[in-house]
Amino acid sequence: MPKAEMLIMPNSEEVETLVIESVRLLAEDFDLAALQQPNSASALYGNEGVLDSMALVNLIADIEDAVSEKFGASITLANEKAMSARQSPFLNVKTLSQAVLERIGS
Amino acid sequence: MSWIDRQFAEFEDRVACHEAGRLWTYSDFLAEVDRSTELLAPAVGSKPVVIAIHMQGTLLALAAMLAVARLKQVALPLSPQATLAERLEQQGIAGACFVLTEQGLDSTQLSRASSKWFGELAKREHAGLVLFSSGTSGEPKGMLHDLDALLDRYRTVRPRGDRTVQLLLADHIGGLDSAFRTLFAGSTLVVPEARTAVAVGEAIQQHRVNILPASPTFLNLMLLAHVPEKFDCSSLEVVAYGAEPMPEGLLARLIEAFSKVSLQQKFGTSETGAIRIKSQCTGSLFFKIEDSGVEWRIENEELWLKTSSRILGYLNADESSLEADGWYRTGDLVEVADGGYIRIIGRRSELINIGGQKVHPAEIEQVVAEIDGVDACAVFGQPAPVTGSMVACVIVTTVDRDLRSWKRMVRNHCRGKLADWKIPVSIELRDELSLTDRLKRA
Repeated sequence: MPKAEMLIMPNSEEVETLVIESVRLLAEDFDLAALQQPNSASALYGNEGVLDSMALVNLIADIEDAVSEKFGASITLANEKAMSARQSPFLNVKTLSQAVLERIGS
Repeated sequence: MSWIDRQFAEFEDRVACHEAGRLWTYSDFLAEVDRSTELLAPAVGSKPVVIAIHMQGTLLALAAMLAVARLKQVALPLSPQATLAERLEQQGIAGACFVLTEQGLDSTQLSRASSKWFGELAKREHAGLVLFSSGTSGEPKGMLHDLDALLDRYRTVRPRGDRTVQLLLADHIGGLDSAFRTLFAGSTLVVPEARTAVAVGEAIQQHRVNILPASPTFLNLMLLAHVPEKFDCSSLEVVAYGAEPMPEGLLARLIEAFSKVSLQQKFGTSETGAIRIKSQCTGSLFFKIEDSGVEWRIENEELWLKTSSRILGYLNADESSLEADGWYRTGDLVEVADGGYIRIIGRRSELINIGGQKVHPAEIEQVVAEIDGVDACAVFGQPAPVTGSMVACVIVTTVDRDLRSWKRMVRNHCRGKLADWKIPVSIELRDELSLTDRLKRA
């Protein structure tokens, strides 16, 4: 089935809701106390972020799966560009949501 | 007359094989080897050439192979299930000048292969055998065996009256080993109508089979198809498993389903042929190499083997695993226990490296397989950001549950049993267990 037919272009709130829910579930699965009630400003990876590299890899896979399931879009969050960007997309929920939205739109 | 012909002539009226509704005695089989020899003899000269054998029938392919051995030529058994492209690729790599089919002998117009190993074979005045490894990517790896040396390992097989299911085909070292071991013992090969769990169940019931050699994945399929309950398997005495790691959970289920059967582990490599081993006990994956023709040692956790039946070399691949002094580095990593018992943990090439920490797929598979609703699972490494690789897992299940729930279930189950970095990150669901041509997990 052509992807374009199933693709639902979400708005930024919908994407942020999906990211927050993914972070919340990950925190629950891996007992990450600091992220039990995440919000837009929650730090994720780097600086004050509480995720270690393994948790980050899990979160990326979870969000990619959720985006595919919910919006019918197959995205790759962690490519070379993302890893070397001046501002990491994985800093906090807000920057990550922005990156997800950009990938779905591109 | 060679020892092989003498052996078969002696077995005369005993039943060599049941295949496609036909019963073959040893006299019939020997007559078929004679027929193939007469067909091939005028076409070949003193210099060995490679003869591809493409037969639908397993016993016909075996007879053709023995004819090639008599004429000191090189056999290339092709899988009857291989596609035309696969067959042409293998014939090209091996430089097969002829193809022998049920219809007769054809020239391929290919020129003779140039590998130095064919010269070595001619010098020894021995027959050869080209087998291809079931590599998962890239060109298949062609290897040249000294067929005389390989067959010689069966010279000491003692006569028996077994009825053995022949599942693997003649293009595979495991299939050849079970066929040779059966035929040189004067026992009976039972070729099922199809290579499916149900067809094997029918064959066991109809021919009162007592030995079943199969891969763990195939045995799992038999359990999933309820073969032990649906068919009369009371004749079974031995289930011999090998070719891929046996998950401990599956072994326990097999012991329960086949309670009166002895479960025996088999071991061998395409490069050395089968190795005789003895399991520590039923239900244990530890075994001891007990084979007078085999030397073994462990280097850096890797099993090294030395046998007279080792391949001469590869036709199209790097030979760094073949030591000049005859040793073969198997690529299998092993765990050593007291008393000289060893257990295969997995392939060195399948180790998953996560940010510098390494894990064997089998360790994770064993834990995932404990989850309710998992019929089978396969763990492998996948490229990932930050950590280089991540653990990916395919789960075969018929339970209707979404991916997100499966993921959470796997995490919940694995936490505390595995370090967090070993818990599968990516999960893919399938509803059917698929097999490779060699009956391993696909």
